[in-house]
Amino acid sequence: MTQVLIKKGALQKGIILFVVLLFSFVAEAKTKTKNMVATQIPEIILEKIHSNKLYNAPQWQRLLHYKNGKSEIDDPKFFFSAEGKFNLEAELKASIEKLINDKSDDEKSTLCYYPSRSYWILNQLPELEKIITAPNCKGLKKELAALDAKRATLILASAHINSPASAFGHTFLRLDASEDTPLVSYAVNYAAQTKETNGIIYAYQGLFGGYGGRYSIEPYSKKIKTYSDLEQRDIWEYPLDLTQAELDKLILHIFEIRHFYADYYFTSENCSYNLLWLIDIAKEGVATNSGELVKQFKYKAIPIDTLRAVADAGLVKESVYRPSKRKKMLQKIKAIKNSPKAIRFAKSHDYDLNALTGLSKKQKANALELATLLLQTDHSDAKIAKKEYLGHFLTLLNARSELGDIESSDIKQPFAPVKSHLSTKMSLSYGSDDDAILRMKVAYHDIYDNESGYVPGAYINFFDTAFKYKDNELKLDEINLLDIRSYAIQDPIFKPISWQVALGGKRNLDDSLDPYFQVGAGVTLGNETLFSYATVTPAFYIRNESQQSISANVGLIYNPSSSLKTGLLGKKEWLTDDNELLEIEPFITYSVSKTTALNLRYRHTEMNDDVKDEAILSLFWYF
Amino acid sequence: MKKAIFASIALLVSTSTFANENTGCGLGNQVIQNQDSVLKQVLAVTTNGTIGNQTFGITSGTVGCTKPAAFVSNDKANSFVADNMDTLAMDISNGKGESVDTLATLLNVEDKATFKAKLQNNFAKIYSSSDVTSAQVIENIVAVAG
Repeated sequence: MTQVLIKKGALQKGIILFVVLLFSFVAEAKTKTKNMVATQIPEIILEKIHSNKLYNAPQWQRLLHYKNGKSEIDDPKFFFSAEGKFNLEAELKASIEKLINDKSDDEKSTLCYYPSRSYWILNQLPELEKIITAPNCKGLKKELAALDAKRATLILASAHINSPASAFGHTFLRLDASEDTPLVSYAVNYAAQTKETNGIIYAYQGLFGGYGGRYSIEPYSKKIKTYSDLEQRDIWEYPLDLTQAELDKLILHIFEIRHFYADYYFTSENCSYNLLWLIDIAKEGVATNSGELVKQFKYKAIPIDTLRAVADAGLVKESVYRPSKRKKMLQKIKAIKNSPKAIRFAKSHDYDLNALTGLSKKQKANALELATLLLQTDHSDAKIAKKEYLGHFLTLLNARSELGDIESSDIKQPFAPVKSHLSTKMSLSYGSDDDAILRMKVAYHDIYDNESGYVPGAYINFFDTAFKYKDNELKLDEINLLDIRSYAIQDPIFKPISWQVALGGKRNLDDSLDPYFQVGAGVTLGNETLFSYATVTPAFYIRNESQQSISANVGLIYNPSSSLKTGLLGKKEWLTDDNELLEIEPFITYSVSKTTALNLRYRHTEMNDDVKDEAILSLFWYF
Repeated sequence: MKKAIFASIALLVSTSTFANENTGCGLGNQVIQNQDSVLKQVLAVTTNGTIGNQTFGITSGTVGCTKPAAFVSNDKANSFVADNMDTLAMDISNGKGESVDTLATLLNVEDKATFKAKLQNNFAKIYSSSDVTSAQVIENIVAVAG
């Protein structure tokens, strides 16, 4: 069968070499007698290991996911040596010993189960070929052949419009047999393994490494269904510039590491970060001018930042944009918006084709296509039974097919996330009140930041701290542990509810820093260029005399170009002690580059009868 | 030989921890999510792909499905159609789209424009009923595209 597959060109060159190597071992093995005593590593090989300090080889360290003095893999079964997690030399020798002494011939034998390190060890120490028993690795070979990978592509699923869990996006790899048929490719995903459905437990465990992370593979078409069709997220595809030999290393590593887990940390050792190991192993550190990818991420690895690192290392050339189903629907609405009749039909849910009489071919076609997409959405939202769905589905498609080919325009590619502003921000402000503010935000995107490449209206901030310098005194002015505002724009199809939640400490009237918690909900209307929101937000302050408030917030955001953003924000807050606060703030932000922006705001505050006006100029620095 | 490959893939799937919700031989097998409650809508529940059960399914959608007749013996095309029945139906009816292009490539069709037009003109023959299986769809496509 291997012969057949090779003829088909299904096996890659590097893998063929490896497989041929395996076969040559089989012949050798047959001449061996069973030896029950564990064989030591021959002296000559030991010498070579020591003289080259092979165990310190960067690639050996990468294969063990070794960083800062230990392996990031937490599964003890990954290591042959008891000290393997910390000791590179012990693990190398134990691996070699295991290879020499393992005479089994099944999928669990060392060579088939640990193909990545075996391949590397045999390449470094070809002498070993004569003394090890090579198993057949039938299953592995079959999987490699079925995968038939010729190219790897890094995939970014952008943020879901209204979900904090997805705000940072998600990345995974795709292995392509051909660049013409990505729909039959396989996706390699790293994820925390759990069936936990309680969000709070999940968040806690996820932050503190309570789950094991593992790599898995599934058809890419399934991923598209989840992200693009179900969750309405745009997908960006970045083919990686890898040679076949580099790709083979990456794949063999997936087939080894899939058996083992590493503790999963949301913020650092997460889905995106662990893909970088695969790329580092493929490239062996070369060509990434900024050094190894995994070493660029210490405490946090935000998906978009890992993608930027890969792009900055020169590993991606072009990108492919795959719009979400929502974008496809909006485009069809655009095509027939001049015909209320066509729109009515698509949204009517009664699928009476007679309602289409009198419309142009183009209007009919778009109305039918839109109706089909809406019907599918209803089905996947469990609003309609399968049988009913199928009946309408075929009726609509039959009618559409009879209209023949209709010209349609492409969906405009939005600003690429990889070119958007970086996710950590420092800002320096000067206020006309003669004060200076230094602000530091760990992540990610706030209302004053340029929207290009982000989901407009989705603002999420972590650990945003401000220090104020005034009257020769420096003090902590504000600390926001978490501030999420999801101004999710409603469109003709989807009607999400906008919401916000914030937790932190704020200076109050008497200048004391009080902890607060606030949560609110509302509505956002408009489009990505111009939208407005209105929310109602109760807030709870913790202070000597407990004081609560409720506020009404309105805002108008306008993004005239990819580098300019303006807005008008308003807030009226009623406090339990009968005080009233009014804030009106117009602002403008101009992005110089993805690392720098200028912001000017004018803040008008009325506290009861006390009126204050201040202009503030800020320099934003992103890194 | 083909049988052997098929059997080995079947074996592979049964031994892997493959979460099998839908074998997907027919129409209407997309993932269903129930997002009726306001809370769910507000939080737009998504796992963001960072949570899951390990699947290692280098598998074909044809597993558990009837195979098409011998004259169409293209494993990749078979499993592609089985996995993408609804999307393919929509693209065929529209006369264009990535899935119908992919199918043309997998079937080594040279004149894709004619292929797509033929399929569109014969949509009712290809997706002949709501019970149609992926095997029948492939057979019908091959019959129509001739």
